[in-house]
Amino acid sequence: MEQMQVDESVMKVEEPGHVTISNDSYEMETTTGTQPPHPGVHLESKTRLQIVVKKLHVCGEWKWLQGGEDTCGICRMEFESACNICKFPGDDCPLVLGTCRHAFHRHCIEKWIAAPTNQPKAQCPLCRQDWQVAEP
Amino acid sequence: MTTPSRRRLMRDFKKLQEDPPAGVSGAPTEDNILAWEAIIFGPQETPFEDGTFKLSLEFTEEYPNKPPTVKFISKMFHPNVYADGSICLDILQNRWSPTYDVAAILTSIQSLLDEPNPNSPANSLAAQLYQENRREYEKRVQQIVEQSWLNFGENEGDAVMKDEAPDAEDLPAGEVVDDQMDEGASGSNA
Repeated sequence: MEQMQVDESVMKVEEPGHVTISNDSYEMETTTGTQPPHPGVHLESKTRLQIVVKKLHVCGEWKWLQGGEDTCGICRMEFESACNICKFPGDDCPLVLGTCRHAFHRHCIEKWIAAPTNQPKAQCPLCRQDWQVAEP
Repeated sequence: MTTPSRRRLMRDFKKLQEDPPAGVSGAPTEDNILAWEAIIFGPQETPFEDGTFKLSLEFTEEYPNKPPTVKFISKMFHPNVYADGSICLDILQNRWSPTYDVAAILTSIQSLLDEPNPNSPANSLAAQLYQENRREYEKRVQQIVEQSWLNFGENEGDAVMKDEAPDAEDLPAGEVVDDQMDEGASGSNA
């Protein structure tokens, strides 16, 4: 989860419940209520309203497009968590997909391929097919 | 010091506790997470039924890219178990995969008990009796099943004496062992 702050941006109210942010401030006409507070007295008004967003909290969630809901079969951590070698998840610890469609943390599968017992050819830890990285 | 293999073993341990497979249990020793002790209960309706077999698992910093060394501590009579307790099982050697964990290892050994592989005998007498004289084979297995209770009692003896000393005095030694077995058997069903 990441949090972003947007300061001094301007919010545009297009329809109730839908908001877009633009660089310009937005002006809109106020329409006074249909039920005047003072019966018998009704003055026309053309004042315009400007909304300036001072602060906005945005919550984001990221997920690898490959890999699905699963965990890495080698380190047993979620794909979106760091592998056993890394401190932080994300771009530093991406997934690698084999031609067999099995995905692992890059560091986890690299270590398996590099193991002396897996020379010259390593197999997929899940299906034992010869491991080959899938074309992107 | 935490290393990738130690972190993986902590996850294995957590999984064993949260989602324990039937009939096996295991835990790292108190001072070394690379050295584990485990118990496999003999599968029901097999000659190994009611056995409580102790094993040791020794991991290295290469785990899970290399399998642990697994040995029976309890005496075993099985076509694929050597006299020193080491086990001839393909997934612990050339068919190892880094996706295996402690639970997978222990359940594989548990199913090996009643499904020996006569093509790779580690105990030639056990292999021969298994194929040629099943009655004698089962008799020999029954002997090591009974021995496993004695070993089990001995190893856990200290704890039993501390916790149940007054009761234990009133019972003949054999019944103390039986009590332990009941605990073990109920554990395997849980």
